[in-house]
Amino acid sequence: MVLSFILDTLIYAGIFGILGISLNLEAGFTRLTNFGKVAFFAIGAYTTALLTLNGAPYIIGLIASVTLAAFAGFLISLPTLRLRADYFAIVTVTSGEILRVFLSSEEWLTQGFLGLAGIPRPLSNLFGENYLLFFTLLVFLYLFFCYLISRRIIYSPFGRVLKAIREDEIAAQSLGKDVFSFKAKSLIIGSGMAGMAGNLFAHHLTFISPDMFLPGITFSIWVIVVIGGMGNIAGPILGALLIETFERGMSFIKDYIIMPIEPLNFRIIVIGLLLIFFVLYRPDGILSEKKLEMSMEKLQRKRGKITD
Amino acid sequence: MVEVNIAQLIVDSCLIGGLYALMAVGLTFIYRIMSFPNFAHAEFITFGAYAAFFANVSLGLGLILSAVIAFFATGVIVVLSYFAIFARLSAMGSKTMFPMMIGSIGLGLVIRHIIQELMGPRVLYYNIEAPEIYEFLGARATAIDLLIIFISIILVVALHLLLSRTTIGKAMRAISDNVNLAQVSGINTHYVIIAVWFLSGGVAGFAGMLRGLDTYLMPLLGWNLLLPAFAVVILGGIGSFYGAILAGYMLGFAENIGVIALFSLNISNSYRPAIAFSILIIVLLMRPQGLFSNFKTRGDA
Repeated sequence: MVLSFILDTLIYAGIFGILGISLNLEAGFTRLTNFGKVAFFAIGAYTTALLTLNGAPYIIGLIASVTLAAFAGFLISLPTLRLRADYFAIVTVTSGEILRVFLSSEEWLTQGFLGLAGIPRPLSNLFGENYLLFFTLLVFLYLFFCYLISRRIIYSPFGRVLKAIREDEIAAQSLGKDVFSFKAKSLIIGSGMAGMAGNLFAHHLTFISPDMFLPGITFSIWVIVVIGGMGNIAGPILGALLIETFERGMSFIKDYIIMPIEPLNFRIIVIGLLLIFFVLYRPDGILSEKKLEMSMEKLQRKRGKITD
Repeated sequence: MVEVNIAQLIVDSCLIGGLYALMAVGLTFIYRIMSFPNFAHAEFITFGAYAAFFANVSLGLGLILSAVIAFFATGVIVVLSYFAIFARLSAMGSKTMFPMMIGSIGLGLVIRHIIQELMGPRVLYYNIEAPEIYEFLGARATAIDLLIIFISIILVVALHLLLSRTTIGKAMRAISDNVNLAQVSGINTHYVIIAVWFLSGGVAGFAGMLRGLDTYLMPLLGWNLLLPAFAVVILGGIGSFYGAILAGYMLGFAENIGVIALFSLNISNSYRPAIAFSILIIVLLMRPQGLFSNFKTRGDA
């Protein structure tokens, strides 16, 4: 009982950690205010659910989840990325809502509000009793993979351009960088990761419905990134652990103690207050971003030009 | 071919169009002056609807008094939230759009769920008698519908008079045009910005009450109108009062015509929000500065 609760919390923390890493890539490094994260998450979940329910193997579902979500990111980038950050925020927050309308009204495809049930779990006959443990490891494998990708990106020239765009778009442009293409790539990679998280989510719950992809999910992810520390690659993982322990814990203890306030409301009010508090008093989050320190001497030492 | 009743179309479009216009007025001013899209505006609308409900049902007051309470209560809450969050953020430096958007999202979540906690998640109605139904030229409208259409037009005219005839109104327009220029011409920008927040909140709260009268109250009342409100703001051009009014009515007509088109194409009615969304995308692609404005939209404001 307790063990399965802990594993469940870890799985959620892992899934939201992946979402946090992907949002950190978009918002923390490139300043793309993606308020529609949940849409890409939902695309990943529905894609794999529809494919595997119709007999496709898990790996096909995974590839399709990531590809389709990334493609959706590309589509969203077309009308918005050349414009200011606020337009991007408005379009993403509303496209999440439109996608939910689509998921609930296209019943021939998604069963509407009834949702999709009986999504198969990968390799479920192989692990039997210990399945939850296996799935936790699988989630952490994916999380580690996404962490490595984001780490690789940040320390590459590509990542430095992203940061330059964040700091001053016009300056980056004046240095000959195609700002639009860099932003679009950041969004496509981030959306692909969100699709991967959606894939895990669908196979973990084995049931998905449009009501699971409310805007609240997006703002949970934002809290995770803001608390953990925007621009710090480990930040979202810490944030996901804290927030998901809180959220899962709340839904766990509500069966045991009577709270004077509805647990769902309490959870979301706390999330809202955390967003305000961190933005006002600790905009860097718990783990603040590591600034790149690169003096000329260090650079030359690295290249072996100065030897002691 | 679907039969289209022109009179009904006009009544429905003016009804929703007037609401959109009132919702967008405050949003567009704040957007221009503080240069960020205030996502908490949706919850100001919800707050006004529930404040009127509290006055009307819990205290047993009449509708007119409830409307006044909705206006002032929302205005006060909005000014308080300005002091608590947005004034502090804007004092922090130049690049404040990003933290302000996040702060407004957080504020919106807090307001919405405090309302949900206090008033419950279920649908509520104001304490009004079943209105009479009028029929003319084949169109059907309840007395409430006509009242809402009438009141929104009155309020739009009142706002126009406020903005064009009074000192404070002119100062508001000057600020929304250029804050620095207004300041050097001797306008006390600090007080005028507070007045804009108050007015923006008051009108939003009032519009929320009208929406509650038109349909019903629920905690998602404002959030569900956020997309059309932003579509109106961008269509009208950020910061443009007359643009927002025109765009509000335009969107009202576009949605009702679009619903007829959807119906004749056998597409589900639930795609109604997609109409505002498509308009938003088209405007962003073709004329991002809005139809009635020539403010710049590219680059970091």
